Amino acid sequence: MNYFIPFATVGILLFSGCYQKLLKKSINPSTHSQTSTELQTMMHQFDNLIFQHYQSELDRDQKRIDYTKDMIVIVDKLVENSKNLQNFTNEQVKNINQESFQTLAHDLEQKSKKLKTLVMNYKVEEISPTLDEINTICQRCHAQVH
Amino acid sequence: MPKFIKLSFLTLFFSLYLYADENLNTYIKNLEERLQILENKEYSQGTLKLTSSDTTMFLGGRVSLDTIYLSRANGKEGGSNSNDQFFNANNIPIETEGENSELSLTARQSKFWMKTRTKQINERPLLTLIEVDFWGSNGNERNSNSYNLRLRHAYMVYNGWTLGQTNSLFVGSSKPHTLLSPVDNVFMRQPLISYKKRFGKRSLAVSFEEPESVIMTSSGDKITVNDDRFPDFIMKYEQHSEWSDYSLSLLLRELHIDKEEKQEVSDTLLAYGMNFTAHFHTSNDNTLTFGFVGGKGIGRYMATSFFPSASITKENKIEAQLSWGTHLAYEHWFNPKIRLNIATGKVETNNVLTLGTIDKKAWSEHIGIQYNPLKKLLLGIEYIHGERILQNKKRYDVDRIYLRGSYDF
Repeated sequence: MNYFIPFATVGILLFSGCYQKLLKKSINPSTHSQTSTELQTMMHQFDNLIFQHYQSELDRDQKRIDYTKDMIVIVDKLVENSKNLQNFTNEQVKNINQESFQTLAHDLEQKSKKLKTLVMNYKVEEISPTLDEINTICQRCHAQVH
Repeated sequence: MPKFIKLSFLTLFFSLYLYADENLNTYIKNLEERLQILENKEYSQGTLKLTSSDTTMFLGGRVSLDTIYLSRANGKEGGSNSNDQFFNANNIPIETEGENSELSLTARQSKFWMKTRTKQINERPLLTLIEVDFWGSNGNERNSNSYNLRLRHAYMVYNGWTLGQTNSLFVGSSKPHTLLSPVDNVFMRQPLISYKKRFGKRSLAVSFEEPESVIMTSSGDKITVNDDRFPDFIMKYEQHSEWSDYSLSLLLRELHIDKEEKQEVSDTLLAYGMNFTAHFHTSNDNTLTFGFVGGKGIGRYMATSFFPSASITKENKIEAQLSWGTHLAYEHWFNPKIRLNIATGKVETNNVLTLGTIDKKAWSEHIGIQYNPLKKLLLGIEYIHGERILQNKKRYDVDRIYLRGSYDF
């Protein structure tokens, strides 16, 4: 029993690390839907920082900023993807209203720029509403595609 | 005469034009102010924002109710039975005759905070935080359940520097997400001066923190000595990535006693310890958390002073005590609102004294479900089994069920 916890932990950590590497390899980062899922996951983690124990509000703010920096990278990927999507010949993508799609892609790019400004100026309180706006843009776009 | 009339009309028209223009300007200004108010309102997100010169103030907090059922209680009077409300190794009861089964409710976990952000010339803001809760003094459960405020945090952060009272750098970056922490919990809030340098997603910090020593006398009593001469020195490395967080803290401190509390001992020694925590996102939101803490003379930094930093030997010297603890926790999200939390933790020490009635080890297991019906509303239930083993191998255990409802505003 004395050695069970450390050994089990090391085993699980090793497995967990390998699993993540395998997962990373299997993910094609240019796939829009996967990037979108990553963003949703990070937004969920961001929302749940509030329930983490023993952290002060400023500690949480720093974590919010760290998470936002990660999310900016993902949003930028989405913006890049949305530019590529316009060139696709797929039937599903063809049916999209191009003008509306471009407006949404442009809005997403603007929100990414806004997030960068908020992080730079430490305006943590404005990050969550901006993420909500990004979520709305994503939902409006997905409503058109699906 | 016609010329005069023409001139009068022109003057009147011009003044009306000016008046209208002025009205328009006022109207636009009013609209702009209203827009600003609306924008501020949109971004207030449950905090009251006051603006004074370059300082912005934010208010927030938590309203919380804990309902606890214990298989065996500590036997203290209602209102001063915080031992039954907090879970840690010290609160696993030893003498419990007539204390079987107890129900306890408390709202003392509720808290209130105020933070400020002040713009500086170089654009790096100065941040402050004051946070209080209601664990300040004991009350009674007969009539009013009145409790005083207690200081949790009071500190400022600027340009990497932190001054004031907050979490020690020895505290790990990640904790299990169970409602209550396993027994090896590294919890320390104290006055400190620290400096942190960030290198992208990595950071290195050093701090000088308030010293305090818990030392065991030859009869097995733990005393807190006030003979400290140097601050505790802590160094912490943190690394953050998209799917993991690590932290490693190293502690170096002096333990010093000078005939404190009627003890005929004057001695000094160097103590050290480390705390490693890791937090992985195994898939999507699911997380695995691991921690290992240990050291010689680590004492109060682990398991809320369950073990002493050092003990007084027969030779009237102090000898640092080796203690360690570990935990493993897993969080599984069934959907974006419901998650399962499982955790286990253990602490153990190599006692310097040979007394049979002093603590040797303790462990706890936690399983619980947490539900977020709204974004900042938490409803949770958790079952905890804790066990405490003395040096004479006598075992004592407790079962607890926690129900928690809390809302962060």
